[in-house]
Amino acid sequence: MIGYIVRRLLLVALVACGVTTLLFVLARLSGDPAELLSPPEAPPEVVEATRIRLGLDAPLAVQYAKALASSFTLDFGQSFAFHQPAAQMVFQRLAPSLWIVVPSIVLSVLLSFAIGVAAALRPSRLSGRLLMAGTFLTGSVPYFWLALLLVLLFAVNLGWLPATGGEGFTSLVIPVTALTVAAVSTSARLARGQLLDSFGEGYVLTARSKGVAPWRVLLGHALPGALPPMLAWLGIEFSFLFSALLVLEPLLGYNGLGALLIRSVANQDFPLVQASVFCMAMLITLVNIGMDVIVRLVDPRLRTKAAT
Amino acid sequence: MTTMAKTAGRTRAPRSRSRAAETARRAWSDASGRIAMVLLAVLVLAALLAPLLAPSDPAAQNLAAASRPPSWLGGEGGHLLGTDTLGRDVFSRLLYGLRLSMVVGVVTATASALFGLLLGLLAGYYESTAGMVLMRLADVQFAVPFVAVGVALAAVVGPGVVKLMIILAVWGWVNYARTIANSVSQVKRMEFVTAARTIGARTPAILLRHIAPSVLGPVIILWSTSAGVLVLVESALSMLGLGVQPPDFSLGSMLADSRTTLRLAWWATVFPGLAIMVVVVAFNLLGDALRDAFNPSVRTEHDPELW
Repeated sequence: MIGYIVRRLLLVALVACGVTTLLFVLARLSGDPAELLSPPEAPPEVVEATRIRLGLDAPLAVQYAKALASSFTLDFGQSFAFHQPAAQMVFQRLAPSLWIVVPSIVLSVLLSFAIGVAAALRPSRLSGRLLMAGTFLTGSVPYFWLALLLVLLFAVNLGWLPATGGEGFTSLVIPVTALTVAAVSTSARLARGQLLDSFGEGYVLTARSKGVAPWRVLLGHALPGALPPMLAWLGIEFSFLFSALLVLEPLLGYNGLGALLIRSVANQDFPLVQASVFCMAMLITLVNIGMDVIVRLVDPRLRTKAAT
Repeated sequence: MTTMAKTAGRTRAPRSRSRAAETARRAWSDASGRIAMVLLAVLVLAALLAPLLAPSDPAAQNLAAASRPPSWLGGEGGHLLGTDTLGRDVFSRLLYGLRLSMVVGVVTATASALFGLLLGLLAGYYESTAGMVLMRLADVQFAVPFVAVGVALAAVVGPGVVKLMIILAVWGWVNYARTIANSVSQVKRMEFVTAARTIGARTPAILLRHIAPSVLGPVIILWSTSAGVLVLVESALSMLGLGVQPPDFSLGSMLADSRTTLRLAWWATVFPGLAIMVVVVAFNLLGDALRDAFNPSVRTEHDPELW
């Protein structure tokens, strides 16, 4: 188990190098930050001075090594636009984004278990089929469009929620609802499929034939069997939700990491772009590794496979 | 020996054309498969026949007729889905916007399927070397939210639908490669592959003629769902101004253009989004029906008398 965790943590280092390389190539391709930071009429000496100040006069290999070092020390330098340490800004904006992501995940997990169980108990009845058809529709809803519809209904027409921006709880309702609806579909279908599979497993049939009450079989035998793939899926969902945030936050005027990244790309604010993409990639990787480890802990089948 | 090797190269894997016909028949026999195929046929026809079906020029502005509600809500001028704030007919724009959205979905999904198929075949066949490298690359790519890369790349190469399609196609290989590499590493141990090698077939021939046909099922299923996802992603990136650039427009960029005038003309936002949803539903349903058609065993659900 410890060996497994160590191997998975090596992946973190790999992702860190990979993401840094990707960002380095993109930044070098996207033009000269020195000219961007200098006034349009600046004499060449001034531009040159800026270039030296940013370390852009060094050979590419040295710049690349510096980029790697900055990733591993989490020191991405000053934001061009805000003149603050980029890493610090990213950490400040991370919390508002997590306030959207975490409730969306929790809600979608609870909902998808409820829907999955209800649909798995009567897979061929009308109610089960309707539930699945429903998840099909919610899974195909463009989440940004749903957010706009919610704005139209609750902000423009009813005036219950702020249309854009806003503080605290009310500003979370629309993004969390849109993301939960989008995310619940796949996990509900997964939950149903896993439950149906585990209903056919020997341990469920045995428990049933011993006379264990149906609800105890469901909660104690069938559901735990369906859990590991659901947990593994959570990691993937986490990644999807961060992608969605990049669209939703600017759309709703929400001050999170997604809006910050979009703005800093538009500003060509490289330190901030590097810091925020790096932070997201690390978070997604760590969450996925965490899920993998938890899956190993809760699923004895995987442990015996690893041992042999 | 050479003639034998040639024959070995030419023989196909144990799969005949009737298998494809059988799969299509099975997908059609499924209710959701039938809905998907009819929906897709209607969508493709609507996109192809847009010039015939559109009541007016999708680009024609008419400020005198701006922000008119749909005709069935009492809007003047008989605009089926109303007009936007520039007085353009929403229904006509919807038909034309559908064209670009469908093209982006289908072409990009096909390109990344071919790319992913190639890499997946190599990764699965040469498990130890190429497979390792590709799968670690996939791990890195998986960690970065796609929109972040799309935004950063668009800042480098500039916005535009063709550039976007190329980025999407290249980025999309991971899912295919992972699935295919798994199947290939199983298939390559099967007897017909050993048999082909024994009679002297070369590696490219084995990969393309013997192994590739056996893993086509997962590729086609993934293609269908990813076409739907790509329509969504194009719309999402259009919301950020990175997708289709004017004067061209897709369903996504219609949504993006109209989002600021939600108060004035909600129909210009609601209907393009609804259209996107219908496209995505159609591709998803097709993917689901194909999954069942390729794996008949999955469909025999345990409907136990347990509960």
